[in-house]
Amino acid sequence: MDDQKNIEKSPTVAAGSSSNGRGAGGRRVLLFAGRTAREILRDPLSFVFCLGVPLVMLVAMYALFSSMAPGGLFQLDSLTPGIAVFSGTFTMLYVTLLVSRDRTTWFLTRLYTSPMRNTDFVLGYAIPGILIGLCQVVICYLTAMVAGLITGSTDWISVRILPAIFCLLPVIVAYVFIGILFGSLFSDKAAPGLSSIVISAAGFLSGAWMPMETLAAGFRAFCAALPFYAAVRGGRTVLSGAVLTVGGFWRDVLVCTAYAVGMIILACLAFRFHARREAE
Amino acid sequence: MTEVKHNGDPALPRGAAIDIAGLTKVYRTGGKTTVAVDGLTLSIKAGEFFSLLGVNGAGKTTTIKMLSGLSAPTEGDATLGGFSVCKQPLAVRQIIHVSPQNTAVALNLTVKENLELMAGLWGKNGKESRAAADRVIRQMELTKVADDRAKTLSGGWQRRLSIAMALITDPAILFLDEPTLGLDVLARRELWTVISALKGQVTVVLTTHYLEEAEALSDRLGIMVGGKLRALGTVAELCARTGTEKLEDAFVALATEKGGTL
Repeated sequence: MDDQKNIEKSPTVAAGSSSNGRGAGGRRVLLFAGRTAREILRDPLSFVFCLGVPLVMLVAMYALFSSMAPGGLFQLDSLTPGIAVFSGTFTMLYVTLLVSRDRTTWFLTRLYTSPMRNTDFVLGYAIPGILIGLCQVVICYLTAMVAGLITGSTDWISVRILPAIFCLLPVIVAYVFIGILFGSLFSDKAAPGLSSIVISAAGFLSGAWMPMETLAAGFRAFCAALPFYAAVRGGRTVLSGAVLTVGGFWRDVLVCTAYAVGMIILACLAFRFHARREAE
Repeated sequence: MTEVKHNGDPALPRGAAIDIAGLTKVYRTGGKTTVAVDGLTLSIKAGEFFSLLGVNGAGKTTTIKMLSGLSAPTEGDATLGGFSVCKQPLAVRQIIHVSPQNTAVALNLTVKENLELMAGLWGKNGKESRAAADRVIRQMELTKVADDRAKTLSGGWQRRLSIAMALITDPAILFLDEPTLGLDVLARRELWTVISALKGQVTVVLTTHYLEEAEALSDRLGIMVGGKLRALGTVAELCARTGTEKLEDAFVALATEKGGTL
């Protein structure tokens, strides 16, 4: 038993014992989250896709089409929420790529034998993803604000920008956890393909640049049941200055929140499933 | 109990002992039962360099998964540094590190950042992590690539980083799963030098298909066939048992032996 005492007194085990506490768990999450952020942000293409593409779309669509359809889809107060919702899907893509690559390269296999728990991993992927997604939304709105100031076409953003950003938070959360879900279940070859389906869906079914009123009622109801259109419509409602009704704005927020909660649950289950499968 | 974790006293053996008793893993899928590891019983001394050999499907990786607490044994138990993998898997994780077959590094992080991340995840604070990273960078001769991102390194350097990431956690027991897989002969020889420097510093369990690697590095070897330990001993003992001169011939003789037992 003397040997056992030596082991228990050893620095490694002593450090490990304390690292099982809640504070150490939080520190592990922050460390892993920092690593996730650096992995995503150090890829130059992430800036191209997460910022470059949405901002070019926002400015180009506004410049090209707003005068052709005054008061319509391509005015900044309609276009900006749509582009912001669309841009979040690229963060999902990068989270998907990172999780699936961590599996393929066995980085997760190495960490499964560490003191980290499944929730530490999931939070370590999700927190930077959500923050990056929120930054995208903020930058989209700031760009729109500048464009609006230059053209003198808007007066809304400075007043309503915070609630407009807040109402997109659930859909950003949903995207990030979809990324964790796909990355946990599918290979680094298949997962990006599935993400591109969600990206396309967010583009076409969100009404970002397509008038939903012209669609058949049934299809419109289908779109309203998805988080994309609900999020865009919610953002537009805030920016329009309309009264935020339970049956309108808050229902849209509820739809997006329901998807976010569902995706959190599914992503956690998928990650746990992968960890167990890896163990066996 | 014979195992001792090093605590800085040079008089004590470094590493921790492994005692495996009747370790068994049975998979049941769709009515089909597969015995991946069958009643493995084995002791590895503290500080020993032990190689686990076997053809594909022999049960080596399953054994490592059970010993590292990733996979629960169907039967039997093993103690690592005195901690049971069945009853104290979290304590086991604190004293081991598994360096997997793939390099398993964070590709967009620098060498130093990878090392600090590992140290932090295993419980060191920021200052300790930086100091440990500097120490391991010197120990593993990674200084000239310390600020390079992992994805820019060659295969050999990535393997070296992978082992450094294992060492920075101060493991008492280190599992190296095919550490030189896919490397050219020069990179492999360089890595052998690095790995052989670990002898006596930490208990090492190596799995490999390169028999010359096992021969060059190991104190003892175990040969697994069909989930069972077929042979155990030093290279000289295994060659003597099979009447061969080279480990490769001894391995072939033992692996193909009909109904052979330990």
